[in-house]
Amino acid sequence: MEFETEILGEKGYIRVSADLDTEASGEALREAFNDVFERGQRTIVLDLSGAQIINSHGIGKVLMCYKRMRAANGVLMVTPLKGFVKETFELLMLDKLLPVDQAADEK
Amino acid sequence: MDTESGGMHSELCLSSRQVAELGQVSVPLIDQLLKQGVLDQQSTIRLKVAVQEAVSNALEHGNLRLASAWKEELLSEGEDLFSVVRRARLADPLYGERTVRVRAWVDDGVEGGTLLIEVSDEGEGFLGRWKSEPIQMADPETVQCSGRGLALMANSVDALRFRRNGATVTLVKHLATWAG
Repeated sequence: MEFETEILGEKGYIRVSADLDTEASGEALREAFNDVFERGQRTIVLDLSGAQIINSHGIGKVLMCYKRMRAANGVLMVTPLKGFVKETFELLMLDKLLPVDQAADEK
Repeated sequence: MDTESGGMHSELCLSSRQVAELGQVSVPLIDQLLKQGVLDQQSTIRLKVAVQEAVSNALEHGNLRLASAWKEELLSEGEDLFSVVRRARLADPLYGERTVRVRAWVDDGVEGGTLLIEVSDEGEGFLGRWKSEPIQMADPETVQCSGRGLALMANSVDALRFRRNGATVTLVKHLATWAG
């Protein structure tokens, strides 16, 4: 499993194209994040529109990315969320932690 | 892998290694109830997430005895200690051959039925060292990568029941449209 990454201006994007609920998808996120982070991007946007489900494993991997970004004085953002993923972020109050990249909505 | 299903009942028994290889454990009864219109799509997604959380806990904390705190210890390439020890223990027969058992059935009641999904592991349970805390806004400085599984499970079903110090957890979902 592999997630596509893209650099658009100052931002690095990770297109999560599967549910974030297994070891395999968590590992794909870690690899995609490493790829963008090591290219020096310090604003990274997770596009979770391809995920219908996220569980505590996926949340843990997202927060690991968040902590690495924060330690490097960077910002981890998400594209506007929907459905169960949005509900889960709100339940766990992660929507207060990860800002939404509104520009992604306008593309 | 031992599986058994029929009527309003399904049961499977998997080794830790099989659970890890599968990534996801499906409960045929959930899909059957969706097909029959007893469960809607949203409840089905929530139930599947709750089952996965319970099975992950059974595998990782029950059978493999992994500590959540290891998720905070980052090693090279952004990998955490938890993932490294997880791999090592899955390869060790002492941990890798312990089983996870998932049993699902519908209990008929006076006011509709109740779906019960019981997940058991061969660990020591966790209730003795667990403290229930309300979900709070995480502090950006100290946010933890772990500790949200039970909250997600509780949000997805009507009740959680524990036995054997938490080594057996039962997910309880009332079926309003159950006709028996």
